Amino acid sequence: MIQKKICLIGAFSVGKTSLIRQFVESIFTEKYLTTVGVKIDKKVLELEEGPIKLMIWDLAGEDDYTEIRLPYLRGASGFIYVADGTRAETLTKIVDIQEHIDADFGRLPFVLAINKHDLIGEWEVKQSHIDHLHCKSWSIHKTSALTGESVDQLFTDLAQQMVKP
Amino acid sequence: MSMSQTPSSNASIEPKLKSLSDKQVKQLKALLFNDAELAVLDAPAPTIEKLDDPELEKLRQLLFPKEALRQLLLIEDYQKLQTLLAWLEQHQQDPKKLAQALPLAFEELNKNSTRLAEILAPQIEKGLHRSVTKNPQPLIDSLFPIIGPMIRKSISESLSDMLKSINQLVDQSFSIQALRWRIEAQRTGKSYAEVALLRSLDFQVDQVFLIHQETGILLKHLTSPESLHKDGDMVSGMLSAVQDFVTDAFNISEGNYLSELKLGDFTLILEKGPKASIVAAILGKPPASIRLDLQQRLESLHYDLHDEFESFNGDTQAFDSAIEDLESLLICKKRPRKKPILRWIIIILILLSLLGYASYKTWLNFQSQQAWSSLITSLNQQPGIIITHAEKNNLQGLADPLIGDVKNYVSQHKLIDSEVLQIEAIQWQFKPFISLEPDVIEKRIKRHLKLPQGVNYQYTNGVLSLHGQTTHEWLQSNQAKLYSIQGVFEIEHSALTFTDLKAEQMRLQKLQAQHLAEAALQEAINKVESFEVYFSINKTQLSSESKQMLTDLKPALNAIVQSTKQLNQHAELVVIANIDNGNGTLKLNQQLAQKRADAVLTEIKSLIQNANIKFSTRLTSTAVKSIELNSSNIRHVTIKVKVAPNS
Repeated sequence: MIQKKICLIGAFSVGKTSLIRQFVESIFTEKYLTTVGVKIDKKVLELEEGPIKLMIWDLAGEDDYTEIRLPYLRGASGFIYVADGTRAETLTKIVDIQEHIDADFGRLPFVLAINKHDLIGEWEVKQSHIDHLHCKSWSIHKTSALTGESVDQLFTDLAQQMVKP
Repeated sequence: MSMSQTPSSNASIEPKLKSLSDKQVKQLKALLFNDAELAVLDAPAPTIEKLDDPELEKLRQLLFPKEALRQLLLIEDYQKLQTLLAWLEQHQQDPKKLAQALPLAFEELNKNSTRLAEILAPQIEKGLHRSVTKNPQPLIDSLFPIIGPMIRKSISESLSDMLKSINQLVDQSFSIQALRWRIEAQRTGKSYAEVALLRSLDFQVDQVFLIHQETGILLKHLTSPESLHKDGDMVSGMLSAVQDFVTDAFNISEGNYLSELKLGDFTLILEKGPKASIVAAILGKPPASIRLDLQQRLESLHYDLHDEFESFNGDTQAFDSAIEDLESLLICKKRPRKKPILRWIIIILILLSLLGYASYKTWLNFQSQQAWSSLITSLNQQPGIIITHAEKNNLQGLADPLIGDVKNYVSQHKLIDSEVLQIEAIQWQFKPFISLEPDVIEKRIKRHLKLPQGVNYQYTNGVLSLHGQTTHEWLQSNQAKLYSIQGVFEIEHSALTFTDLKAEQMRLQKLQAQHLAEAALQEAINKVESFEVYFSINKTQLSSESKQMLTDLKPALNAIVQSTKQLNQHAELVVIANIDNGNGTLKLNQQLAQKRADAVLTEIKSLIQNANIKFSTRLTSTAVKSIELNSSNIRHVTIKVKVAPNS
């Protein structure tokens, strides 16, 4: 089975850990995030190309690229960036982080999850911003940790990008 | 620069070209040409190559009216340029041709000399130096699989001498641990090697991870059958994360890594390579050699799976061939310790002495067993002793009182091998009983029977046969006693002759003879006493008739002599003559009577020879009737016999 390392990155308290909690296999507690700064989970997906095992490195929420422990990103085949729809600055930050990572690690497949879609009424993120990113061919999913909306698609999307020849 | 100087070789041009700096050339060109000319001059080579083109020639003449002058000025440069182009062309020949020629050239060079090596050496050194200075990683990656073993080999060789001497010292001291293992081996019945292995292997490699270095992806995960392991994929990722975390958190310089994690009895040993890491999860106390094993395994994996590592895209199947290698790490084998000869000799000696001791003990035991069973056998053979229970140092049974104390009996009869068995160490528990074994009965007879001299006995099957001479009285008085001896059921004494019985018989015979003698004596006496002879008046001589009558008495008289002798008596023969008181004087008559008596006596005496008989005569006077006065009756003589025992 193909295995891929992916990293889950997002600003502090965007709900990325909650987002994946119900969708992955996990043996470690979230304590690791605050201690080691990373928690590793696993998700196996069935794609047309065959099964793929994603090793998800859930990185502790950092607001700034400089705060991210870069060694954890090494060897990643893809990234899931998570922003909080109710806090516009989280999207700005994640875009910034993405640019840095792009620069440092080369262009790797990635997807963006704008979380807390269940609170759409409180969203600060402008659709125009999202459209702008779409234009830059970003793959964006509006997700909800509460309802599980689009979470599977998020993973499948990234996985497909990674196995594309 | 001189025109007369024509380039004869590349070698002569090169230094000259080089001698002009770029700046100098530029300055020279600026002096000589205007901007348009300079543009043409600086144009790339193809333009120059087409110098012979007629159209271009026209254009050139149009553009550069001072061509002649310039040619004059530049001819030398052109020539140089031409030479340079020719040189370039020559060296830009088809690389394939060169590639074909190169190996042959190298081969030729190798055959004859080391010139190539000499030429290349400085270049290679420089190249390596540059490569290391620029980026050491590729070289490190390339050397990784070989440099480890090389270093280890060199270190181990230099250490081996030292180890040898240490080993010798250790071996000579003959470790107590080894002895303990031996004792344990003997106690448990296991082989020494088994115990040593068991005691050395006080750890277990529980899990082995082969982790892709860059991604932290688990390539292979092997677990021992008893292992209680969690998801290896996530553990593997987390291990990489922790590795990164430690390196990052403590600013550990690159190249160093977390090589060991220890939590009580649990140890994680991490060995990092350029492409992958091996992590062993160990329970217990691992030997130092385990790291070496991991290193060697990792190196060989890097060597064998180089291509797979290079082209790794997340497909872990490519690493299936590593499973066998990694499996061997799960069962950790401690290398058998080299046992030098001295140690073996000591071990063999100890084993031999143990064997000897064991044999000696076995022999002693065997001997004591033998002695014991021989004691039991001989005791059982002893008449009057019965063994009912024989245990180590405990003997129970029955013994006839005639045996006495069995212990003393055994020691007196030397029934025990006193060199092997200790008589005092044995408990002798015997109860008395009456044995009916013939030997015991005989003993009993001997003890209880006091036989008189001349009497012997024989005992067979309950019958006591007596023979010899004794008195009947003895038999009578001892018969009850004989029967009271246990085991004597019958007494056979037909062969016994009684001395007292013979005497009685003789006495009876004697008595009988006496009776007979007495009867014969009486008869003879009667006969003698019935004798009566008559004398005529005044006559003292015996008539012939009378004489005959006396002669007839001879047998009777002899019988008296015989019988009295037999009866130890003596006889007194009294011849009694009656005095004839009819006529004559008394005196005369008395004389006559005497004479008559003497005549008879004399006659009797003549009849008896050697007679031990007292003879006497007596006169009697019997009153006779007148009518008988003339009868001879009154002149008769009779004989009286008196018998009396000898005094």
